[in-house]
Amino acid sequence: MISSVSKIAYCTSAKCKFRKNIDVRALLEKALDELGGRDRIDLVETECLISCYQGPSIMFLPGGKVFQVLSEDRFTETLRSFIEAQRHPLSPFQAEPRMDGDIPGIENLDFFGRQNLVVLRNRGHIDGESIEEYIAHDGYLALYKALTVMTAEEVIGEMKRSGLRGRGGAGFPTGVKWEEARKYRRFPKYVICNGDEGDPGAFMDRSIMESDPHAVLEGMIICGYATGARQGYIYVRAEYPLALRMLRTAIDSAREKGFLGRNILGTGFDFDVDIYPGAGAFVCGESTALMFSIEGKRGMPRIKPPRSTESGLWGNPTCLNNVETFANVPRIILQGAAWFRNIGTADSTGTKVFSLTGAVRNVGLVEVPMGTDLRTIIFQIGGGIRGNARFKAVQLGGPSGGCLTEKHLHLPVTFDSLQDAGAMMGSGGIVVMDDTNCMVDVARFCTQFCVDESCGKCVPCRVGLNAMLEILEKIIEGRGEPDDLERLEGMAQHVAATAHCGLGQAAPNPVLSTLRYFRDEYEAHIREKRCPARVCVDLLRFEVDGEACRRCGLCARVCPVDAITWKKGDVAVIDRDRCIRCKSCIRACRFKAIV
Amino acid sequence: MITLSINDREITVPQGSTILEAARKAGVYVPTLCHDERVTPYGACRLCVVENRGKPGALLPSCFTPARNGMDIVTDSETVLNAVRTQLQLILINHPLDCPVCDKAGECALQDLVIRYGISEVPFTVDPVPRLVDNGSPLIVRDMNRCVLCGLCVRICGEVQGRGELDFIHRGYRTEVGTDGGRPLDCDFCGLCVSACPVGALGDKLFKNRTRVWKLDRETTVCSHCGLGCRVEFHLEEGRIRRVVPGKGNNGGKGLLCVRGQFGWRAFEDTARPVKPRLRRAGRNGEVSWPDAVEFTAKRLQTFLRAHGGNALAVLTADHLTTEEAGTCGTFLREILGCGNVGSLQAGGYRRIVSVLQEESAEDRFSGTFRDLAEADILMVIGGGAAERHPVLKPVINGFLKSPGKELVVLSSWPDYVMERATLPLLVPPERFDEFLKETREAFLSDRAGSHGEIDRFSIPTDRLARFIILLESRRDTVVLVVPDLFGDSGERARMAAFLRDRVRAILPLGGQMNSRGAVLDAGLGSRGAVRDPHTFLKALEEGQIRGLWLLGEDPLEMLPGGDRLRAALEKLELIICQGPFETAVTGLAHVVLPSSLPVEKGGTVRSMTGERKTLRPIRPRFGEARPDGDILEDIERALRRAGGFSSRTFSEWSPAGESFLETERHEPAGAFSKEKPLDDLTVSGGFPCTLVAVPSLFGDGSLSLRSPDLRDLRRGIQVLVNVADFEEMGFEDREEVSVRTSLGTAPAEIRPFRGGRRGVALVRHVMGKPEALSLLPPGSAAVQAVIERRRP
Repeated sequence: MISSVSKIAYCTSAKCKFRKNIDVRALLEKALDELGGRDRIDLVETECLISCYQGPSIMFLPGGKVFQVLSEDRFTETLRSFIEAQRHPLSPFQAEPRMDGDIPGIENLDFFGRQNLVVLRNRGHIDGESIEEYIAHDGYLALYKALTVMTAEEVIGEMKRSGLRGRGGAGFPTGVKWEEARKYRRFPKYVICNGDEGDPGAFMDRSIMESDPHAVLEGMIICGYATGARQGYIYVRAEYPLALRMLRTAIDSAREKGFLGRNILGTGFDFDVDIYPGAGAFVCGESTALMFSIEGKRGMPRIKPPRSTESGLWGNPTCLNNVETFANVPRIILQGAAWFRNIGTADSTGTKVFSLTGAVRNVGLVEVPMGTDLRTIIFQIGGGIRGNARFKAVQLGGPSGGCLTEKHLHLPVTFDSLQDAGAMMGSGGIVVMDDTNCMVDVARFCTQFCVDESCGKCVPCRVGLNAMLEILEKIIEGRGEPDDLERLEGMAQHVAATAHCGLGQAAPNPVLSTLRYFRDEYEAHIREKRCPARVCVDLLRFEVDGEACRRCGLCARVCPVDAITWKKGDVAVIDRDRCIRCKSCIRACRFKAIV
Repeated sequence: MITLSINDREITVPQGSTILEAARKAGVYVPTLCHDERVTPYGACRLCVVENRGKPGALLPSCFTPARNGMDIVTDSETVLNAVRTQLQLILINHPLDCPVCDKAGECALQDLVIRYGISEVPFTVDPVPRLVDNGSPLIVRDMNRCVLCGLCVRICGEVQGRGELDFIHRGYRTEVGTDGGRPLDCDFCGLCVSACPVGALGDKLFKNRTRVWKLDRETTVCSHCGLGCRVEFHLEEGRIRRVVPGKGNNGGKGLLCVRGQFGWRAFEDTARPVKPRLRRAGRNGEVSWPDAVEFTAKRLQTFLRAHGGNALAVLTADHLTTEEAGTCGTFLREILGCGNVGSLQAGGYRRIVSVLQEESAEDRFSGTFRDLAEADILMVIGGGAAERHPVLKPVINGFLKSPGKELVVLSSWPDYVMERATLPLLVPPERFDEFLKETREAFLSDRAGSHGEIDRFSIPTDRLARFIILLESRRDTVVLVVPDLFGDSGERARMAAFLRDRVRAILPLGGQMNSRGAVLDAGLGSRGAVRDPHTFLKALEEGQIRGLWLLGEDPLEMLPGGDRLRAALEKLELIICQGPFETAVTGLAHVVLPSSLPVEKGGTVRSMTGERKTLRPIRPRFGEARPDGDILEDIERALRRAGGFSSRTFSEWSPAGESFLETERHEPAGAFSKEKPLDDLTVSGGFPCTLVAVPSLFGDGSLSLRSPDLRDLRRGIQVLVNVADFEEMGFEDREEVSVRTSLGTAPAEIRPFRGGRRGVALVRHVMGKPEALSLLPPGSAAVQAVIERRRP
């Protein structure tokens, strides 16, 4: 065997693990046993190679070529051909579709090439469970620098100069927050890492915690040093068992190596971190609700002032940052504020990790400099819309984010750039929608989510959102009346203006933005009792449009209850008494002939 | 100071004020539903929104948004009014319009708001979620369908009462307020939640469907259930009490009340009261007119005093006498009867502490008020049961602890409510409590550090002891609360407090009744002679030094341990005069029964334990021929003077601070631990051997509480509390029926586990008025050996 491959990393994060139900490790072991490379090639478990759309993914090192394991058949032969001959692997591996000739390195692929990895720099390169590998990649060097050659004030100064803003969505300047927390002379102080990532479709924080837990820990320790805290908590939702396991391992090994605990690196600084698993309430991502949850109380946002930096956990000064924010810290300390400022825009410095999901071809984590426009993210990195559908809308910032349209795609994504358009960058979830999405239904889905997750404290969020939901359901079920839109908009504005916390204030965004950009769809539902995207079941007639129909018979084949009769060359007929309105035929028909 | 403009009106408020406070100061109305000054602002109802002209379009919740210099606030712009109207419409979506059957109608905040803002229709529909209706809990009814989720009950129960009985359950639209697992309420029943509820979701069960609020007459007076002097408002309909609510501005504007004050009023409705005076002559019992009764009493007294002298008589008064009445009583005792045996059963502990403080000349320090309490740095509580005896102290102490840097030091032999919250709890074994106090004092005086071996006796961690000493030496502003033991002698606690007099700002003796402070300090009724503590009293009865008893609202059979021994001793007495409002066990033994008025039936001045002078006002007419105690005493005094032979005798020896002139040797108090012979069969019984400590009941131990059917329900049965570790080791079940045995008696009880206590110690509560319970206990001791046995095989 003549090969330069020394390591094969395989992804164990949830998406890769379950995508094809292939035991990649067993497969690799078997293949290497047969090929006789077991003693020379290390198999490395890694978390998230970020090309989730390709999973299960494996990567060859050095070189960083990422491939997808398509099936278990002929796996060994393909592996042999790659390792021995460096030949283009055919199935069961498949690289980027556009690849030809040479196998491109990860940096040459569109999906990866346009990204700028700061936070995700170690993904795939190191085994997150191994503190040694983290150290080998400059891990804990920033902590050493901070503790030995910088004062706490200098650390804060560096953070302020870097312009880093909170990645949880609100974009509060991190350095300023640390300075605030340092200012209050009440002890003990606390550092909290908010890992309660609850937006549907968002998985930035999970991947960071799973692939590079030490970066988060290091950021927290530096924050503890800067603010004068000695205890940190990581609040992770219990739905992230792997992240919890990785963090626990990381904390144990950091303690063992003297990065946590008493007298860190011999400098006399003490700091320790504990994990608090959250029980799954969306609102516990709100900082004050999160702190109540750690205190063992019901997670409900409280009034401000006082800010948490003055009176947070157990009434003591507390500095709470998001996972991604903390993961940025070591790089800033190590490479300097000036380097960080060079990335991104003047007001939003650095990079931002987005989880790109929905109707795009390449689904996965995307880390780009702040200010990258939506078109680049969706069409170049994301590879455009999957299948033959057309781009319709993009929703940013989770279920309470606004929906933007084609005409907004030129907008750069920063903390402040999308506000005028009625959206926000939020924590980094990007959901792309194509023309099979009904925007009224999208608004209903998002509102339903917020209704379910409202803590029930303030009247507008508890009842107002429900009033909105009732109107939306009325419209979707075909009972809409002309003045419903006005009432819906009025209530949405009322909730946004008077709700207590970010959840309630932002919850009407999907309704308000869809009313603004897709009002015609609402009107079609109300006036014509028609759902243009053919999503809302109650507005569908389940009839075949004879003109559009190409008489292919696909609908009849997919119908699970045999309600469609079709003879070759004829337009299909749907027996509406038998039809269960499952929409299988609508999804199958490529000519949109079923209305 | 901050200056801002509200509706074009300039107003200056202190730094840290909210916009709402500024608006109220400026006299500008801002609607609120979830706001109550007793708790932290919450921001749930969003009715208090205002607009800042500097930042148009944004609506600020004024209840917690801080006022800033130069703000230009408008509260009545179209935007604000629309927001308020919409908010009210949203609230009404889920609020049943059952005002005709709602007791809150007429004083309902939501009703008032809806009228004020003219909400006549709700243009939104949401399916209602049926919520809990609880008619099964004692004293409080809950109809959560009416709840607007303002969270006031949750906050006041947690923040103010420190109880946390209620909390939100479920979330979002399904949120409701409830208990864990939806069980019925099992709490202090302080009624704060009822008083805080702006709508009809939480109600007073005694008031439910009784009348309409606009038919009520309101009378303000002082609560007579304990000595804290809470102002209460009686609501009456045609002279009949319908309910009691916290008086406006009581306890520094907090509107605090406890279960006794708010729900104990049916004691005043007791109809089994003596209507006319009653005499027992030559075996005949019969009702007589007042003149006959007075004359008969005077004659019997005359004969008695001639035969035995004044000191063969003992006078026990409950402190339900006004200061004027107590003054009459004092003069009568001194100048006519020449009686030096004066004391109290229900307020005996309080009086004992005061007299020790007087002996130790520390009386100049016990002028403590509520303000001292709030302003002190350190609150030191000596003795257990402060908050159980005076439940309103719970919110007071919670308020004290809210400010940072406060220290709550609690020295007690059992873990009570305040000890749970103490920043420095010192839990001493019950049999060594007095010893501990004494040695601490001596160690201080002699400046000698006790050796470890000695300190170990008290099983207090050394670091806590060290902190205790540091705190004492720190000379920070300290207020000392001295809590008497239920039956034991409290002299040692008072001496500890007196010892600290130069280091502290104030000493407040607790355990007093409505006018204990007035009776002792203004009228000079102390606790002295043969009745200064229960042990001495029983001995003096048995040895014949006391041959006659004048009871003013007291009943030894209800309030003292001693059981059959006590009854036998009472039956021997030559003269028992029962002057009181109720028929009790001892009225059956009385030679004279003189019906007296209840505190709600008479007027006068009283002094709360915290020193405030209060006016007691009669809120309803007298019952039958019952008369105020003062009038009765004056009549008898006049009759005696007429009979002659007494007016000339003045007892110069008798002075308020003086000791008894009883010419018997001073009895030593029984000591902390009962000297009754220990149980011989502790080891063979197979039960749980323990040290039994009688503790006060939250639901009242006084004569008024015993007469309230509602409080009686809450304190039904005898309860023993056992450390949870012992409880589990013994395999007891919660609320299991057990029997408790001491060398003195056996009684059935209900057993419950509790956390925080020492192992091998059991607490018994709800003992007053229960002969079986009292028969277990030795008079005059804090603790007794006992064994708890299962009743089921």
